[in-house]
Amino acid sequence: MPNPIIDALKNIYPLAVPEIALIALACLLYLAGTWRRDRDLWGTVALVALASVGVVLWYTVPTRPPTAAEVYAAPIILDRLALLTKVITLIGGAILVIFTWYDISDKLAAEFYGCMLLILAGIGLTAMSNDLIALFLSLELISIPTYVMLYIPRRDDLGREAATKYFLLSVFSSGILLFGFSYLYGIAGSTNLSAIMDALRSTQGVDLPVLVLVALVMVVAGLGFKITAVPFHFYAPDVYQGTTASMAALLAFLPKVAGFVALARVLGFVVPAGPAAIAFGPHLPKLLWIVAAVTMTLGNVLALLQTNLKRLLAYSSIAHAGYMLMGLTVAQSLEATNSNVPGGVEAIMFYLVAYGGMTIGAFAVFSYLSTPEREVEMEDDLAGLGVSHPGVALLMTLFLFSLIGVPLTAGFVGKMMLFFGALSGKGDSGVLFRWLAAIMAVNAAIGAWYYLRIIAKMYLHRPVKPLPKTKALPKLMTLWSCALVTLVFGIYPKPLVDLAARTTPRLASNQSVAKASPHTAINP
Amino acid sequence: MADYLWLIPCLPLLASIVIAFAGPRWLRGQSHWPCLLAVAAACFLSMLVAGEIISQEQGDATLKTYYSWVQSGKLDVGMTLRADALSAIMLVTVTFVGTLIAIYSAGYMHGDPGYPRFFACVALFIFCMTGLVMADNFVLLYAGWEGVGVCSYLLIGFWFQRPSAAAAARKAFLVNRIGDFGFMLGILLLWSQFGFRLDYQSVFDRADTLAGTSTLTAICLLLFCGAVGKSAQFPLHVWLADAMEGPSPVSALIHAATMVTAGVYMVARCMPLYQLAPDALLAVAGIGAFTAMLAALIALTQTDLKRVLAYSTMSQLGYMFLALGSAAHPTITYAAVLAAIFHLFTHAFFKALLFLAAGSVMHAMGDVIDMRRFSGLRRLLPTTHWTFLMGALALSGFPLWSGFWSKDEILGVALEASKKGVFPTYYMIFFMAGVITAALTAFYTFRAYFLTFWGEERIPPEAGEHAHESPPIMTVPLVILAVLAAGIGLVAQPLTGWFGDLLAKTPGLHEHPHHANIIVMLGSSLFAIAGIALAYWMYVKEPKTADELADSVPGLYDASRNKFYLDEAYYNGIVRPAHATSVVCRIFDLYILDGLIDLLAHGARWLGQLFRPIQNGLVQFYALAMVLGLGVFLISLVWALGG
Amino acid sequence: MNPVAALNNYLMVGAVLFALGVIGFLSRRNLIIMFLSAEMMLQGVALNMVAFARYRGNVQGQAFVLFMLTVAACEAAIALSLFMVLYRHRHTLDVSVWQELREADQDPIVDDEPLPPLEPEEPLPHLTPAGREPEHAPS
Repeated sequence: MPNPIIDALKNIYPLAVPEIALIALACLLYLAGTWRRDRDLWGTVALVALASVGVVLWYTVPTRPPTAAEVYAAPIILDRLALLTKVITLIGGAILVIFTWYDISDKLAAEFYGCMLLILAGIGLTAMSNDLIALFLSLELISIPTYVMLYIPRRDDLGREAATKYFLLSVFSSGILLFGFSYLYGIAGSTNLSAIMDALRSTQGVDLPVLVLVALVMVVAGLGFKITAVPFHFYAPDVYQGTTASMAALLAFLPKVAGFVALARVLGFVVPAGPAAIAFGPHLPKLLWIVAAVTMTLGNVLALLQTNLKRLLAYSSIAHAGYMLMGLTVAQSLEATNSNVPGGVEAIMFYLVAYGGMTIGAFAVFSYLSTPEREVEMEDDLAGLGVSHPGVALLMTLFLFSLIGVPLTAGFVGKMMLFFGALSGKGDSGVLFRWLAAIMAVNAAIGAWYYLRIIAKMYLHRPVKPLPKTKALPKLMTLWSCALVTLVFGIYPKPLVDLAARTTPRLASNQSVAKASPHTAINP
Repeated sequence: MADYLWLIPCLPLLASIVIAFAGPRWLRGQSHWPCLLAVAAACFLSMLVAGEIISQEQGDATLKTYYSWVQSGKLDVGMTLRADALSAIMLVTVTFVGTLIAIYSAGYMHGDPGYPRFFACVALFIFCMTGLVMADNFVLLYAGWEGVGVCSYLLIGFWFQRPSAAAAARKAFLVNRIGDFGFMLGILLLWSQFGFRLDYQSVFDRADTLAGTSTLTAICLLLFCGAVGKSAQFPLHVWLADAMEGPSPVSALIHAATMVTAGVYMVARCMPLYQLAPDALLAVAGIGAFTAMLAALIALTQTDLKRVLAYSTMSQLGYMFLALGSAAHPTITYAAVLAAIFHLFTHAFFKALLFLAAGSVMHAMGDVIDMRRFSGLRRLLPTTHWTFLMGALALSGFPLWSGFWSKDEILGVALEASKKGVFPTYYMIFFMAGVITAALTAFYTFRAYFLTFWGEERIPPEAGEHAHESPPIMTVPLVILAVLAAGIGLVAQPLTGWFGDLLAKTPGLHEHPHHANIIVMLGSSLFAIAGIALAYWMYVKEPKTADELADSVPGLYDASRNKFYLDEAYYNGIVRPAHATSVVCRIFDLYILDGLIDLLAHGARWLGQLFRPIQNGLVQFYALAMVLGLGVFLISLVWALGG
Repeated sequence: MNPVAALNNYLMVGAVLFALGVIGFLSRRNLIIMFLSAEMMLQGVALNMVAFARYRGNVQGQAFVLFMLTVAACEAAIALSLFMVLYRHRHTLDVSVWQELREADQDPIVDDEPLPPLEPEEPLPHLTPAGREPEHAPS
């Protein structure tokens, strides 16, 4: 007798072929790295691997919406959100592979790129997760290689300190996250996300409400570590400062993608059973409101005080996480009122791409200008860049403009989507959302201050000590591809906006499936 | 026409990119060519556009959507360029003056180490400005608006080695931010009130639904806020005089002829909205009239030639706003817009001319611009002298010169508004202010003229032995502009009337016959001539009278000299009392307008300092902060649940 | 005892274990003990999971615990190798020596009462290679 649940479980393997392939390749790299020590070889292998996985991804796109059994039993599900996330990470990963090319020694290249592939696989799995266990494992699949990667490229005391801090705090935060997961499981009686959302909706306000809140706060805290939300952001400035620019770029981008997608899943904004953000009730927007406001404000005011560039970008990345949290804050209200304004998760997806372009680009500028003898670290090191390296200075200006949100850059479009989303939030908390939009506007002004300070340094100051001319092709390629992303999606954002819009449930409602009781689906 | 519309902004952009990349290394001293060619081509195309619009029977806006920039749900922002009569006039003005100034700059900036940078910025500015006037929706308008702001910042701070230039650039940028903030709020309010549309046509079509409501007034006032910042009107006028730290061609192009008129253009463009909000129009007229008078009074005693011109720019912009603000009654709307835009048009020529001539004086005097240090230059700099005289006559509204015609239109409109409008008394006062300002204008313009070019010949030591007239590359644009400053007003409106015909083709603006007011004309000429005569008597005939007069009314003189202590008033009125509360005293350490920004900056810094100690490097502290944050969230949520 | 009350007891112990782990992590300075405290937090979670699994009558919670333990083992491996490296460079497992990265204007935190000096390590015993006669002290 055909059992729909068994079928559903069997059907998941084709969906995960790209990730399985990535993990297999990573193992291959680890093994083969013991025979050949060649940076160029293993970097090329990683790039080829990513490209072929991209092709494979094309063929794994499911042709039909998931069945009820799959929604309530399968640990992973490939929907549009997952697909877009995978595409973003594969492209971002390829850029990062190129970026890190000269930052690691021949000796450790294979391990390094193996770890990179594992992280990318982890993000893909995170995006597909439909189950708490799968989600937890994929998140760890991101964290554990990151510990190793932090240690590999820079091996002095600062690098060690950065790795230690990241490791300890990451372990600590994953403990918090797991505690939240355990309560979620306990409340719903299932680890399946769709089932949890259904259960939450049915027990809303009746059964164990305090436990729901504890779970909510713990989950937000645990994932808040990944997205550098205040007050779980403390590691970021220290770690970014202590590691290489390329690793800082990786840390600023990849965990954020994973963290936001995971939040969208766990908090019920995008689950295969249809929109379910109502599950956590009115407390979720309030909590996220506070976190978003505090995160963007603190990130910006602390960035204002920095003179170390990597530290400054770390705080700026915290501030941008705050902007993106705004999207999560209003997502529920936008969904409930079925409004047509962009915002919510789709705005976050767009912003992640824009953010990736500009932040990786900015770090790549530092990395490009650095030499082993002299690392570009302080703001003063960039003085006079407009004269000595006009091209790079122009690109840096582009990235900074995008970070400020000047029109015709991707950062502007992203900020606009988030801002309009918050502005058109309806319902009781509409006023609150408008306040949040106002806070964002003030923050954008503060942000402009320190970004412009760098631009002024580059163009209006004489170099303290002239930077040497460098010609590192991989870094240049990174710079140009980031600039391309920033410009193209600033000038012509429509394709990406459309893609992002289709990830959210209201426009993908044709994907929603008939509701089935979690217990009949899971307990035979 | 629609085919080549995109070339007008894109050619200067291309030039800017080319100069930015190739300039420092290859073009060097030839960097002006791309800029010059692109702007001249844009000028040619703009004239084609204007020609086509004149030849049209019915004035329709030509819209060309290149692509939809953002289209997501209710947010639909198209990259749409618009060409109608109003934009065409602005385009011709901007690109024509831009071309002449680019030629002039090739001589003026010769040998400057930042030569390519200068032309890259100028080309970029032309791109932003043409984009601003060709925008068909408020987002694009705002983009251009910010773009010209950035270019202005870059060019004011062009000689960034001078601390004063860097400070002036910062001040301009910050003061503009305040205005832009209001502007953006206005656009957002507009967006939410007009069915989430942002293109002009849809917004203006729906304006009726809000007629007379306070929401519409709020929208108009917020938009005007942006204009106040950009066009240097009271109380955000403080940046423009300092902006003279930039090179003279920049002062001519950006801070006299084009960018500062963006506010006037915007209000004229949004006239369908303003027309329905008489209260907002009253505010526009009031601020315009007040600024016109205030700036004229300040200009009376300035000793820096360029600053005199800067204050006169503010004053003339005030005139334009006065005209726009008088548009409430439907029968005078057309006349009001015509007067404002016509004055904008003539002002662009003669004010650019005056600044370029002042630049020529500076060039000869070894960068000295203080009128107390030189005099009697009319023999030394004959061309500069004659062209400056043309500009000065136009600025003072001397009969038949171009400023005369446009200023009279403005005064006539204001008088008309006092007869027909909703607030007759107010408009009467504004009219009187306008007339008095006309006399003041003539006086201070010729004071500057006589101080500079008459009297005994004195040359500051900085000029060296061989102070000489500028090279032809600089004088030719001066001569062209002088001819235009003298004649364009007469030719364009009273003789041929093409300017009015062209403007009447702007969609949404209905031509309404109006007549020049002969009494106003005679009266204002009289005032202008009286002002010039007084200046002649005080500064040429009896040079001592000026000082005696200054001594006899020391209070007034010093007040004007010190810009009516506005900067100090900002300081004493708000900063001093704050000193009493010792907490804030450190923050308000400069002028209040800077102080407000400083408040934000210092507040942010202070907040940052407050949280800094947590980031002390110890892992346990971080973990502790995480746990505390977690605890706060938990307790507050649980508490919210219980309460 | 009714199932809810029993569940509550387990949850209570789980929460206490978790809290002890947190406190340990915050208060101890030895890297290894900090890591072990983090592990103790995970044990609290594991107890929760198992209790819930029993209460709900399904095995998902238990499966979760198994995966969790596996991951914890991975982390322990990384932790130990990392701590080894740290120890080799600084000859201490005290976490507070790693505070070089911090805000620019903050002074390092120095103990008011420094720890007592470490006792000199006893040299590891050298075993004589097999097959050679040990040296004898001259008698």
